[in-house]
Amino acid sequence: MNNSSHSVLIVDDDEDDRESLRDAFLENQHHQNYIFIENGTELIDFLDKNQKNKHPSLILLDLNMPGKDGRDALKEIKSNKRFYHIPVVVLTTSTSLRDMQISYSLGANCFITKPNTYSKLVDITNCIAKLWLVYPPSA
Amino acid sequence: MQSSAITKKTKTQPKHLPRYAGFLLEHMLDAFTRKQLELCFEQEIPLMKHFSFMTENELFNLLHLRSIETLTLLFQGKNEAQIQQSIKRWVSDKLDTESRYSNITDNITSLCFIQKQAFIHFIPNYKQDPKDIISVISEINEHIFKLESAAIKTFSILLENRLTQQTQLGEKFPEVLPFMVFAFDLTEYKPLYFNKKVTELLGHTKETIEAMGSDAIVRLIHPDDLASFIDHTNKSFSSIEDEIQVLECRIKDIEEQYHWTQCFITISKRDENQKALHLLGAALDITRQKEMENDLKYKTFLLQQSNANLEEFAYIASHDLKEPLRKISAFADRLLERHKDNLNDEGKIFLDKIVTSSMRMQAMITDLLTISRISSNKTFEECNLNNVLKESLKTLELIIEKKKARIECDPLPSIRVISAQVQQLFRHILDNSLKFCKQGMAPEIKISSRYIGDKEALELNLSSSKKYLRIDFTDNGIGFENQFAGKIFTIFQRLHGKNEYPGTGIGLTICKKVMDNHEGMICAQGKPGEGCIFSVIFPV
Repeated sequence: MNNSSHSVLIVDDDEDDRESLRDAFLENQHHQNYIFIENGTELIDFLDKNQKNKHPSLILLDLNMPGKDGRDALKEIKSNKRFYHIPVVVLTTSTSLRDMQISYSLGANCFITKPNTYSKLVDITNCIAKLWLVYPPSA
Repeated sequence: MQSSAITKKTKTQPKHLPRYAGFLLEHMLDAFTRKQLELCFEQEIPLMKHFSFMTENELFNLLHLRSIETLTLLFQGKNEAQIQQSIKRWVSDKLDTESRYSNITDNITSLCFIQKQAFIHFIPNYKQDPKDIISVISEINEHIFKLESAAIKTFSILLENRLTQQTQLGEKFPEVLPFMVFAFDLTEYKPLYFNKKVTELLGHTKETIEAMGSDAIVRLIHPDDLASFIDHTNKSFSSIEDEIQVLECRIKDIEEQYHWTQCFITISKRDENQKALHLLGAALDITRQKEMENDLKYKTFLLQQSNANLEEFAYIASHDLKEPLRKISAFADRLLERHKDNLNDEGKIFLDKIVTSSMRMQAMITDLLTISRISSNKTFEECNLNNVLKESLKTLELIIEKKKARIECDPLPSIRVISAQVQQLFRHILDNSLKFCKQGMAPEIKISSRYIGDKEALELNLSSSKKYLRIDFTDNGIGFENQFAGKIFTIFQRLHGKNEYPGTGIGLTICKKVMDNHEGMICAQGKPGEGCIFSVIFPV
């Protein structure tokens, strides 16, 4: 499982959050190729450069980031035929109903407010993994 | 007035007329009256319409009395008095309500003709000698002629006076109006008329405007408003009904300052080909109104900006302020999970305090946001308050069961409210009572409602023009000192330590906000150890 070609993009401007998120996944043995990305521009660049068969299996996207933010990036991904099939889970500090509505209207697969405790984050990442992470049949 | 209308005294006294009048009075009164009535109908005189409400019998009786009066006076040789009397009667019969001169003379001529015919009709019954007959006829003719000329003179004077009054009124009228009134000759673009208000407000006189020549209008009206003014006047030119065009435009005063005006313009005179000749207008100075309007617009803009800022603040609070807090609690949590064993008891306690404090602050920020968001939805609808209360109780089911609380409620009416907010209101009041119950005693809450009278409304500083519904929540809890009754509705204010009773102290602030949104009020009365009463008052 360690050398799985499947990658998970963690897009967040906050280094601590990126690491916590990866750690939370790993707590439940979800060993994937976790790639850290800091903002929307970098995310789109990454996707553009990637080869067709090497699309990530999941994108975890923060909303508020400097430059191209999560909303802009989400809009570009979900309106692009090459990428729109990639599941995007919005993970944000925002509790605003408007942010939730906007995210879903732009095509987010899920909207989650970042929990206050690490244990809750572990629970959440476990759910996300079960829903969206594809493991090879041999796994 | 009437005396001036009386004809000159006759030189020769009639010989036959008094005797003939006496004869008619004695022998022919009914027939004479009937003849006049017949002739009245035959002639269709306009005056008759004022008597249309009378039956023929009633008319006959009226004419009968008039005939006695006329014949008696003539019999006594008082011809002048008879003329005066007749005119007096006609004036009181509203002969002059027929305002046109020709109508009045028609009326008088017809009435005189009728009298003459009736008089002449019965002469053969009185005298058969042609000489006598001719004498009587000439005397009758002379008398009726005098009557006719006197009547026409009198009514001419009446009419003239009324016309003068109307003219005077017409001249004074524009001067008492709050409007500037103006008239332009469109063929020569010359001012025809200006009332004093034009000079008063703008400083222009007829002379200064005349001096501007044919482009006076172009010079007086603000360049930006000129197109609209010309457009409206063109509409006036082409409209057939001479409808009044209304527009707003700026007019320059003598000191080159512009005044905002509301103008009403129409065409007051056209030639036979319907070409517009005179433009008549009235303008009201609305500069102050416009200034206030602009001021209001500016203030609305500021308010909108401030609201936008507030929304932005709410968003910042929800996101940016929470972010570091979330991290504090998340890492403290992780520390506790992962390195529990490396910490001594004191370390664990300190860490626990960090977690609880940050959680508490998170809760407070969430509460602040709730308060700021509560104003956004303001959809009022007719609601059955019993159902709203039922929904609120549903959310409290667990705590009600846990505390074995008893809640008694009288039936509540249906009123227009923001249902979701009232549901929150009920929940927080009930939650408050359930929370602050006496230890070892099951909470009891009684809910009752009544409409309050003018006197009570006045005592509570409420508008007496509205009707109010008051709902009281009475509990048997720990109560409070009445001096704190106002304090409990302030955000994050608490009367007890947070370890004693949990919560951020937001519930009653939400209640207050909800009641503000309903233009109602909330108040509380308490006594330590004896419970308290929360009252919410809704305008209905």
